[in-house]
Amino acid sequence: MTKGAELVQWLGGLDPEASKAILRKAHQKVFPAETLLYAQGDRVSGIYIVLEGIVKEFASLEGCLRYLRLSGPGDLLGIGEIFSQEPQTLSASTVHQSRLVYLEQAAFQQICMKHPSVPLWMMRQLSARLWELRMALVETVYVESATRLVHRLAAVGERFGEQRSQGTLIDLKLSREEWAALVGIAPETVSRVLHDLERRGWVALEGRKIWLLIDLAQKVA
Amino acid sequence: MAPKRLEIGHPKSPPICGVAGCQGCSWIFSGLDEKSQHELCRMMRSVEYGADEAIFHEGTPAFGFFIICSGKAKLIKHGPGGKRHILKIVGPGELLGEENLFDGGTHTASARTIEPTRARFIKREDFLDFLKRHPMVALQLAEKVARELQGFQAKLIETAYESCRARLARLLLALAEKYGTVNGEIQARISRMDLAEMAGISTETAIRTLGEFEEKGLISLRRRKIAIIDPKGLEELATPLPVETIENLL
Repeated sequence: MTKGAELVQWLGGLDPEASKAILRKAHQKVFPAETLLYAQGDRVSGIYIVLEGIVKEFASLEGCLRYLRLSGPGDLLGIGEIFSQEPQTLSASTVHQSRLVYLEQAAFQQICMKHPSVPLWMMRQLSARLWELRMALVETVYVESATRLVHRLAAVGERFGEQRSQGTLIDLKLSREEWAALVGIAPETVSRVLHDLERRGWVALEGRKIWLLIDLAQKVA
Repeated sequence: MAPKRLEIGHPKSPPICGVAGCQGCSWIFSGLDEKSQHELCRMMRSVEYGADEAIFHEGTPAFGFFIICSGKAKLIKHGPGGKRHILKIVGPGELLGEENLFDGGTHTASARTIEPTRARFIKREDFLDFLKRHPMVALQLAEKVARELQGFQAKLIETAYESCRARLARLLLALAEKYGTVNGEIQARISRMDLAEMAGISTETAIRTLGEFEEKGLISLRRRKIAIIDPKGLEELATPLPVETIENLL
């Protein structure tokens, strides 16, 4: 698929003139796995749209690492900062080799002023992100660690898993520490809960690969 | 004494609809010319609520959003087992329910007044039309929501790693910054339960921790009011959130 066709797919809902304006200004880039796209505190220079691959967004607080989000095709990176004009509040790096489209800040601002449908379209993305964060906050406060990990496994499996005959394969090469940072729990809890799930026959562990053998979302609904 | 990063960086817009006693409207309307202000005014409908009254419920259709003229309201998200988490408190000149303008039109949280509240209501379709004609307001609204998003990110990171003590200390400093103090007394009547639900801790823990703070001489408790005696001592327990929010107290 051409860059244009792919972008149009992810820019669905925008009026055609605004989509064309973005297409004219956007640059496509391919990044190898584990490439840092930007770091917490960096000056914001533009936004990214993920076309292919997975990007992790994370923050560190006094030495502790917290993964806020795994982003995939269609997701935007850096939208909060481009509007707030604050330095990056999160770092972002690729998990696998990823293909992204980059739009520079100046071009983005010009497009926003000329095509009011663009900030409104971005507001939908911001609102959805806000909703996700609020849900995560309430879950972190009120839901116990094991259930949160199971919820996150189910969500990651649904978004990024590969469907195979024996189950859903999550092959993001995330360590136990990274899963802990993604859920906001201790790495020891991740190991304990994963082994417990394996004993029950709900998951199978193969190094850093995790196989979901049943519908986890239904189990903890 | 106040945490610097929570200072509000954008002054309110001048009063728009001429309501008596208005100290200014939301920052997102800054820069509108007189004609556009009148246009906005014509979309507004006045609403009034008593203390502790529901404004909208989570899961119900969102027909529009509110601009608070006087009083205070809280936005609440219900967690498992009926537990509640207060996401933010809004006061005069601030917006309520604006994030649901764009996401399919369903309220993703509930809103309830803390004290008697007067507000202006604007219908979703009318405001979306207005935004299309005023991209600067759309961009300013996006900036407000973006900063709120960053505030929630910071809270999420804090919640995973910081103690109840640190979270409560930070909340007290933020309340003092937002509502001001007289002789150290925070100028807002917030119940112990609301404090707990804002900090994401149980009411029992909030009461116990406030008692600890009082014993250490950090605060003094006067019925529903709290006076900050030793702001530096509270700051040592919790550094401010690394984000500058606009308008809302998260």
